[in-house]
Amino acid sequence: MNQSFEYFAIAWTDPQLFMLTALGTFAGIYIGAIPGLSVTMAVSILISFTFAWDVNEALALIAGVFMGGVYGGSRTAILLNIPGAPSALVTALDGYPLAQKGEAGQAIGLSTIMSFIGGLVGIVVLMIAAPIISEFALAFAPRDYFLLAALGLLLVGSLAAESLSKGVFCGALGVLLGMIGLDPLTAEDRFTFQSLELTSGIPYVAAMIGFFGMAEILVQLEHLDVKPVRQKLDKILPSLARVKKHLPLSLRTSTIGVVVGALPGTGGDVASLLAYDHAKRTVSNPSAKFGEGAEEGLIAAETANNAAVGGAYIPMLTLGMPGDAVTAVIIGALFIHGVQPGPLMLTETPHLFWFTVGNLTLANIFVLIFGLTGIGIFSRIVQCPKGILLPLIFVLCIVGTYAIQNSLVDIYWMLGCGVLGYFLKRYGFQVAPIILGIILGPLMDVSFRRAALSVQNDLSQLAWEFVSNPITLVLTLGIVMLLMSNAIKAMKAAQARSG
Amino acid sequence: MPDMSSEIVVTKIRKPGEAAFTFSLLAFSLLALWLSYGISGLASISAPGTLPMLASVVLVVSSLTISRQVWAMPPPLEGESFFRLMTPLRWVNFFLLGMAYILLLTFVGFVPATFLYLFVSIVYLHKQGWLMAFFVSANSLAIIYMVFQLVFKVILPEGVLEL
Repeated sequence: MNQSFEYFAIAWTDPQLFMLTALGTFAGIYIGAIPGLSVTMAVSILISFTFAWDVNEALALIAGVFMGGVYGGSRTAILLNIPGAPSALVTALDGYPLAQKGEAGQAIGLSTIMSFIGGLVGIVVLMIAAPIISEFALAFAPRDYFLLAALGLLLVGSLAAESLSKGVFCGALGVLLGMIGLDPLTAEDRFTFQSLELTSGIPYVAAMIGFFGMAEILVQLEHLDVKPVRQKLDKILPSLARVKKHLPLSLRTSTIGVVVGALPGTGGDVASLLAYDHAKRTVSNPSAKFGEGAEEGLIAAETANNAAVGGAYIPMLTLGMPGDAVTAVIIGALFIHGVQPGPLMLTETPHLFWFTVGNLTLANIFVLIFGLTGIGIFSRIVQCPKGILLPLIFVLCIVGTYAIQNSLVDIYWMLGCGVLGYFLKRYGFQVAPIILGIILGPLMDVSFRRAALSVQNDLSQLAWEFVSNPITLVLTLGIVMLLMSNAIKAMKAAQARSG
Repeated sequence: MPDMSSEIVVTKIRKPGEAAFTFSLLAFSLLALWLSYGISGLASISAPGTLPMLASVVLVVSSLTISRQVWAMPPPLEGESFFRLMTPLRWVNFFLLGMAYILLLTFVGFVPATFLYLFVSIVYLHKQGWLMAFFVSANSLAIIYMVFQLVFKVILPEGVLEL
């Protein structure tokens, strides 16, 4: 226990790590707040810069950006009615009407404190649940990992895109891209076309920057002329009585956030939607009508999306399974730094787990500090015109991609992925399942083939294993149920259209 | 989920170029299936080509479903063209500027190429005059250079002319 606390305190006692966490959180708040700059994009670019750093330093900065970014999205949602991040979409529903009533300062203050509470609940659950899940996950067979990855991809696919088919297509495309290069078990060439560059696979950090950064720039070019509305900001800090009044709701919605965040493939956006729905159904006397400036709506969304951060770390650290697009990118960073997340992480590298917990706690405190200060300057900075912002982001994408292995070829990969990502987005596809597929593809490949080898390549025996083992059966049923619920939803939609 | 939708059923209209795009996805999926089969055929379920084939089958099935959905939609409105909606002039110009920047990087290196790129793009996109663009480009470049070269110690692209 003492040793765990020592690891927990590393980021608090080391001045450099302390500063990096503060810097990451500060930068994250601005990145999350500026529409067009996403946390996923920022973390993807950061990975390439922190490539040569010590793993603790890289993790400190990335955790700060993640925590700050999820919170930062709420600022522009309240002030400008433009959610800085998808997880702040629901925040805008009541946050902006509050600002229109002249209560922008109070809305920001309340959302900051509630984000802090949500973040804290998420971290506490991570601390308690991760060791239990890790121990449970030791019983997982290779086939279970295959099914869990497939379930995660299906969940992301069904939630992220316009239709399940589009989500599934992107997930499978990612898996296929992840297969490029030498086979990890037999060293056989796969999709390399005798090209030496392709034998080590596609540079996935370049792909991430392309799909998340470049594609977003191309999409944002259409919204160049949108003019934000300025807001008046005065009293920020809400009264203690007001916070106390909303505490029971904030704890309930935090719990929703952390549970949803922990499910593979779901993140802050879904968490805030479900929490908002919960608040709408359970709060009988809201401060205003929901959608017209109800504090309860703002609180539900903000606690849930910040609690989802701690939740998303649970499958990532215990199963090696990313919870959402950001954790998919963070898992890539861990691989680059030679860290293998999974059930053995807590026993083999407990310092990294407790360091992460301590680091997230520190970042959450910084969210509170930076969230309640400097709002005046903030509102001016986030109104940076896109005509200036987009060329700057493009330069960052180029520098970030080049930094990975100082190769111009990677820049062309990034550009290609960006253009593909742009067209996919414009036609209603989402790019998050592609990145998740690239990360999970190799794991699925190895797990599936190990499962097949364990039954001497006997297909009927393998099929039997998928339904005879309790863990495997639960996962198989989860996939079947997800597919069936989506099929029913599609049928209902088709019926509604036809009449 | 919160009920944020109305009872009105909205029929989606096919976007310009959407049918061709989904068809190209289907063609890509079939090509991927053929290439995946070429890795190890149907040798065994633990062969290197098994998962690529599985992923390709999923690609083919999902792209067929998407194609069916897209073809069932009413065609795009008259007067809407792929080039105007999906690749407007601003988009094409920004992309060409980006390509020119990458080419310039290989010749003159990071600092001059980035300054030129930022200056031209900001003049073009921000439309607030060249003097403002000059100051914003010079300051941004100085910050980017200091942060990435001096703090992050990142190697920046050098051109063959080594300016």
